[in-house]
Amino acid sequence: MSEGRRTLLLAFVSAVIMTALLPLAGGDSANACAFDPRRPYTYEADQQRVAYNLALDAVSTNALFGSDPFFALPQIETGTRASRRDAAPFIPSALLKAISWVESDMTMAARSVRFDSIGEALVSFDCGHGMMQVTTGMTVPLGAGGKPSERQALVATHYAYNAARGAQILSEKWNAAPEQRPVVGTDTNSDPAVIENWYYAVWGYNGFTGPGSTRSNHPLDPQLGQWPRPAFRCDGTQSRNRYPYQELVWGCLANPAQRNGQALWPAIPAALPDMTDQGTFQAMSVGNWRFPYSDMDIRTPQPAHLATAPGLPSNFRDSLLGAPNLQSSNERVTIRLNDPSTPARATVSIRNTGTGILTWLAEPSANFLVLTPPAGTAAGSGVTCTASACPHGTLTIEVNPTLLPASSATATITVRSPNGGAGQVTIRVDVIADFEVGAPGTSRAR
Amino acid sequence: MRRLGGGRHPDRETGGACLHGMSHTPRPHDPRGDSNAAPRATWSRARAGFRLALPVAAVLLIAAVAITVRLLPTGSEAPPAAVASGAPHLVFAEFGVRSDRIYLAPADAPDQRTLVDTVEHADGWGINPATSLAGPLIAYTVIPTAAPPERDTPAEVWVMNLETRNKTRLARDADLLVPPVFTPDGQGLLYRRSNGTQQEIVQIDIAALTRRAVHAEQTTFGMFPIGIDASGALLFARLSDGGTDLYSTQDGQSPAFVHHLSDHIARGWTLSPDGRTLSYLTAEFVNERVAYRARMLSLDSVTEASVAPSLQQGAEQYGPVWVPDGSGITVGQEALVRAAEPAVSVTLDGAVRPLAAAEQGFDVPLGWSAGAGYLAVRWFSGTNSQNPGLDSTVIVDADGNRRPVEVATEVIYIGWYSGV
Repeated sequence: MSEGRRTLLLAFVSAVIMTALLPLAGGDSANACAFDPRRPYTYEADQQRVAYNLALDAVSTNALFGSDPFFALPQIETGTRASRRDAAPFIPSALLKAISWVESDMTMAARSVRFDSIGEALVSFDCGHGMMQVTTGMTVPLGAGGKPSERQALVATHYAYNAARGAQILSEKWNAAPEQRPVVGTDTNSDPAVIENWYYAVWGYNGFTGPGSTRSNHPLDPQLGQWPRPAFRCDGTQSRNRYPYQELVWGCLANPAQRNGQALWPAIPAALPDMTDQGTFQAMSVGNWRFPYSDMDIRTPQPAHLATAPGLPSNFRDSLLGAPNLQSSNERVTIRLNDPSTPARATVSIRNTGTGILTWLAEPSANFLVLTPPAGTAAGSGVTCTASACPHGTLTIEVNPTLLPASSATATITVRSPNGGAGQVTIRVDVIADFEVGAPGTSRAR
Repeated sequence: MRRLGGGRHPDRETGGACLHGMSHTPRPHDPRGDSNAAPRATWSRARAGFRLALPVAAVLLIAAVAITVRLLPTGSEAPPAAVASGAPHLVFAEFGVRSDRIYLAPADAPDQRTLVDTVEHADGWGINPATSLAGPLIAYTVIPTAAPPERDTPAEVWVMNLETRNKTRLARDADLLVPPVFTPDGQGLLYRRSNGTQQEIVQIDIAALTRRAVHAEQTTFGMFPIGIDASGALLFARLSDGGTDLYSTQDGQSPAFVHHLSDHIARGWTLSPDGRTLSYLTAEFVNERVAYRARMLSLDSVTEASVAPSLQQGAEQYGPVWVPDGSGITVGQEALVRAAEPAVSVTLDGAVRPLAAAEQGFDVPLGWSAGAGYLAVRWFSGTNSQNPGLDSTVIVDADGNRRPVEVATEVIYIGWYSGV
C-alpha cells in the first residue's frame, strides 16, 4: 500500500469510528438521563416474575432495606385530615405489582433481552428506569464529577432496589396527603391497608393532573371519551386512550397477567370511586381542583378490599440480595486505532464471586474512553442466568479519537460495586493512534 | 414517574429464535463479527477496505430506501375498498397493541367486513378518530410508533380516503385525546394542540394543506372544539373552576360567551346536523345521587331544555347522538329498574320512541347511518356507569335486529359510510 493510500485508509477508519461514536458522545440534552448517552445493563429475572413478585412483597413492608434513607419504605400516615399520624411502613403489594405491570410489563430490561439473562436496561424516553419506571432521581447524573451515582446504578440495574425505590415514591404520594393532596377513606380512617384508599396516591404516581390538560388523569375528563367506559381488562385488547392512569392499575389489579397458565398475582377487584355518589362526584368537581385539593377528600370506594402483609420465605433476603462480591483484578488492554486488522475496542469481564446480583459501575479517568455499558450487573452463584452473556458482566472499551490528547495515550478505568464489597477492577488502557496525516500529492516534485 | 406505556410485549414472552438478547445482536464494530473472517495475515488490503466500506454503504442504502418509501403516496398500490353505493357500512377500527385495523362492515352482515388499512401507533395507544366522515374521508389523531407512548405526546393528524386508501398527514402537533372534528362542508378539520398551558384550536384546509389557529388561550384546564354552527362560528367548550361553558368565535374575534353548560364537567356535546342545536350531558343531582342526563340547547334562542325529563327520573343517560334528519336525538339509559333498558329517540318536541333493547344491560348510542336505518351502539351487560359490565359493539336496525360486531379486541367507532 502506498503511503497516500494508507493515510487515506486511516482517515477513513477514523471517520467511521467517529461516525459510530457520534450518537454516543452527544445525546439529546432534552432527553438526558443519568447514564446518557449509554444504557446500563441489568439482570432480567424469570418469566414467571417469581423474583420480581418476591421483591415487591418484601419492599411492601420494608423488609429489605431497614433504615436506608434512599431505599427504605418510610412510615405510612393514616387517619383523617384532622387526625393524621404515622404508622408502620406498608403498601398493599398487589398494588405495586399492578403498577409494575402497567409501567413495564414487570420487566427490568429492554424488550430485546431474554429472561434469565443480562442485557440493556429498560429506560424510557423520560428516564423511567426498570420495572417501576423510576424517574425521580434518574434524570441527571448525581455522582461526583457529573457521573452517575452508585444509587442510580442500583436503581437501574438491580430489581430489588428498583422495586424499593418505586415503593418509596408511591409512599411519598400517599404521605403527601393531607398537606398537598386529598385523602381517600374519610370513613375508614384512611387506613393504608384498604386498597381503595390508594386511589389518589396511584393517580399521583403518574402525575396528579387535572381535567382538560394533555396529561389529565381526572376520571371525569371529557377527553377520555364516551361515558361510561368499561373496566380496563389489562389484556392488551383495549386502547389506553380512554383510561386515567389509576384505572389502568385498578384494571390490572383485577385482571392479573398470566404466564404459562398462571396468574402473576392474585386478582383483586378493587372498587373505583362511585361517580353516581353525590359526595364523591362533588369532590371531583372541577371547582375543587386547586392546591392543596383539600375539598377533594372522599370516602372509601365500596366494596373495599383489605390487604395483609405478604408472607415471606425465611431465605427471602438471600434470594433477593444474596452476598455479591466483586472479584478484584488488575487488567491491561491496548487499543490500536491505526491498525484496521484489529478491532478498535477491548472487553473486560466483571466477575461476581459471591451470590445474588452484583451491580457495578465503571469510571474512566479520561474522557476519550467510551464505556459500554457504564454500569451493569454480574450474576453470582444461585442466580439463574442462561444466556451466553451470563453470568459475568462485560465491559466494552472504545475510544473517541477526537478527544485523544496525543497520538498515544494511557488512561485507567476503575470498576466498583455499590453492593459487592470493597473490591475493584482496575484497567489500564493504552491507546495507540499514530495516524499519519497529510494531503498526499502536495508539493510533489516531478 | 411516568408510565412507559407499551402495553404487552408478547414477542419476548413467547421465546423463539429471533428473540435474542443484546449480546446476540451483531453490530458493525462487533469483534464477534470477525469470527467468520479469514485469518488476519491473509487479509488483502482491498478486502479490508471493502469491510470498512460495507457498513457505510449499508447505511446509505437504508437511508435511500427510507427516503424513497417516505416520498411514495401511502397506500397508493392498495386496491380501492369495495362499497356498493347506498349500502350503509360501519367504519371502525379494531384496536391492536401496536396497530389498529380499519374496517368497512356491511350493516346487515358485519362479519363480512373488509380491511381498509392498518394504522401503526405507539404501543398501547390506539387511534382517536373523528366520529363522523366527510364523504369518503375519515380523520384521526395517532401517536406514531417511534414517539413516546404517552398521552401528552404530540400526535399526528391524518385523513384517509376509504375509496382510494390514500392517507395524508395534516399535522404533527395535536393533542391525542381530543378527537378532530370535520367542518360541515367537509373541507376543513378542527383539532386541538397544546404547549404547556397554552391551548389552540386549529383549522386545517384539507385540500390546500394549510392551517391556522382559530383560537388560542392560556388555560389551567382545557377547551374542546365542538364544531362550526349554522352561522359559521366555531363552538368550543371551556372548563374552568366555575364548571363548563360554551363559547363561540368567528373570524379571529375574541370568543363570545354563549351559555353556562354546567357547574361541573359537562360532556358528550354534539351539534345538530343544521348546526342550530347542541346536545350534551350534564350532571343532575337527585336524592343524593348524581346522573349525567342529556340536554339540548337552542343556539338561536340560547334556551336550554332537558331531554324528555319524564324518562326514568334520576336515571343516567348516555351518548346523545343526533338522528340524521336533525329531528331529535337518541340517548341510552341506565338499567335502573329493569334488567335491560333500550336507547330512546326523542324528538325536539319531546316525543319518545324506544328502540330495541338487549335481553340485559343498556346501550350507549354511537351513531346513526344515513337515513337512520341502523344505529351503532356500545352495549354494556351491566346496569350503569358504576357497574357497566362487559361491553361490545352492536348494530341495531329499524326492525329491532341486533347484530354484534365481533372482533377480538376493542372496537373504535369511526362512523358510517355508504359509498360515493
